[in-house]
Amino acid sequence: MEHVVETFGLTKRYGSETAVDHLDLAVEAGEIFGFLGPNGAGKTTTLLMLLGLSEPSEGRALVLGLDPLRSPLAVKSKTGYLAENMGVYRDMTARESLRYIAELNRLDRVELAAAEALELVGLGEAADKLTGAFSRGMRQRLGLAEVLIKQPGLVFLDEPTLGLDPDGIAAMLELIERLPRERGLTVVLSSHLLHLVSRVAHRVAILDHGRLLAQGSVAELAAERGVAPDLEEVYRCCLKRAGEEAAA
Amino acid sequence: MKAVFRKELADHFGSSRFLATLSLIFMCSFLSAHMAGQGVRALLAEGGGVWLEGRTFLLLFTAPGGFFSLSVFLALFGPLVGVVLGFDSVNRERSQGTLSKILAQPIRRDEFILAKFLAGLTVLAVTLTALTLVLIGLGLMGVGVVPTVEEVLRLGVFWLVSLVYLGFWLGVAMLASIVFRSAGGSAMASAALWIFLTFFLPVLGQAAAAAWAPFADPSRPQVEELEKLGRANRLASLVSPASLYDEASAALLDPTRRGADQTFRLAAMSRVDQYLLRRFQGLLPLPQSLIMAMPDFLMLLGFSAAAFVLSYLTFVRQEVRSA
Repeated sequence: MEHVVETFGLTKRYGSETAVDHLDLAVEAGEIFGFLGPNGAGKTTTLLMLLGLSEPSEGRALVLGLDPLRSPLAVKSKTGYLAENMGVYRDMTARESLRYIAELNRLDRVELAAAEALELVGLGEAADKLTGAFSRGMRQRLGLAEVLIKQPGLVFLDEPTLGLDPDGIAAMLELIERLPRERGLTVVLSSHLLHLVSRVAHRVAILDHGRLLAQGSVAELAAERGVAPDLEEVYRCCLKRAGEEAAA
Repeated sequence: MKAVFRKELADHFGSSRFLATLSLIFMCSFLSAHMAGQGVRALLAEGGGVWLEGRTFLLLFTAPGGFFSLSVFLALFGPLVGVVLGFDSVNRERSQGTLSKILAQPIRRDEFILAKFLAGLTVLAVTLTALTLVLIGLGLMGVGVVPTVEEVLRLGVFWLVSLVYLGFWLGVAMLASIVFRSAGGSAMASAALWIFLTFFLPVLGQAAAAAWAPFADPSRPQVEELEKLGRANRLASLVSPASLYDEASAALLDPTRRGADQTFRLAAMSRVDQYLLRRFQGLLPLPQSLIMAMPDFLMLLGFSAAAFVLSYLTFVRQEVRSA
């Protein structure tokens, strides 16, 4: 299987604090990869290193075959990133926001691409409304449109359902599920909401205190640990064992 | 980079905060030029036209009028425009959550910060051009004297010096917007630095110069003592951007000015000698005024470059996460 993301002992330290500790990840092409862990586990820091936005203290990463540290522009032009609490330019319309992102990516046929991306996320009718008046769910969908307009091969979604109401969550998950199927995208979905990730992810990685506790499909991980094939069971078992190891 | 530049430019010109500051600066400038114009008209009516020849128009920018001369006004309050343009340029993106979005696009951090700085500088250039042209127009109507070629050239160089000076304050405000997370914090820091560098530092410099070059008899200072104090004052002024701008613009806009320490030499002369010297000395040609303004201009350029480079270095080393 082709790997679109690989990390080799990827580490990030802030002074004496280790945010990410010798991480070895492998994300396969065309999958939805759940990147799980409690708040502060090091998920966002890892994503930032994969995008070339943060320099690793140790180790290295390959994203779509490129080193984000050496070729950050190439990585950023081929990947999309929806940050946690992604903001909007409140005085721009949705279409203007997309136009701006398209210009930054030097895309051709900007208007057409913007219209397509807005339709895809269900914001076609709100295209010319100011984003300042958008609800949280609409902003998240606009964020996703901004990610998709550049037609990336790989997208990193950091807590994309955070703050959404149940309908918004269902719509976002449905959209995420369609991406690999309809657009051939690989999705790295970072979240601490297990029940949501378990609905769409093909494989997962569980992170705690910057360390990788487990990586694989839920069925594989459950079998290895002798628990029921349920993501929450696997997750609890991993964290419990990590806690015991740390105590020992 | 072009996309960020264009967006920033549009944001600045559409910003009510900037338009309000600009209106205030324009109003005060008009008032200052109007009062200076009245003074010039009175001088011309009294028959002072002969010794005003070749610098009548420049007096609109240098004559104190009722309160400040325009050049002094720009030195004191012009920085506010630079600060208004820059104090929240980066931390606003950070607080509204758009910084990580933009930096996740194929744009380098140095391009991002440079585009923001250049957009601010362009707005300053447009503002200064508009201000200068409108004041020239008002001068033509009010005083009725057409500027000479040399006066226009002097105003052109003055425009450049002013742009560099305001660019320094833009760089300072941008640095504050990178270092401080809240716009309030960066605005306060920029304003505090403006007050310190513009109002306190020159006073401190003068006090230090007076301590370094004291008069044996303060009631009857000697020429050598005055010259030494002049040199000390000059040295002290090199650390204040406002003083540097003041000196450079005085050298450019006042062709009778012979040097920064002229004031101190004049102080040693009798009132009659001072009057005769000012009345009958020839005007300094532009190249010589340029030579006189050059050290101040270069220092100012150095300050501006340092402010931008510091902003740039701080920003490229900052973690996006902490941002």
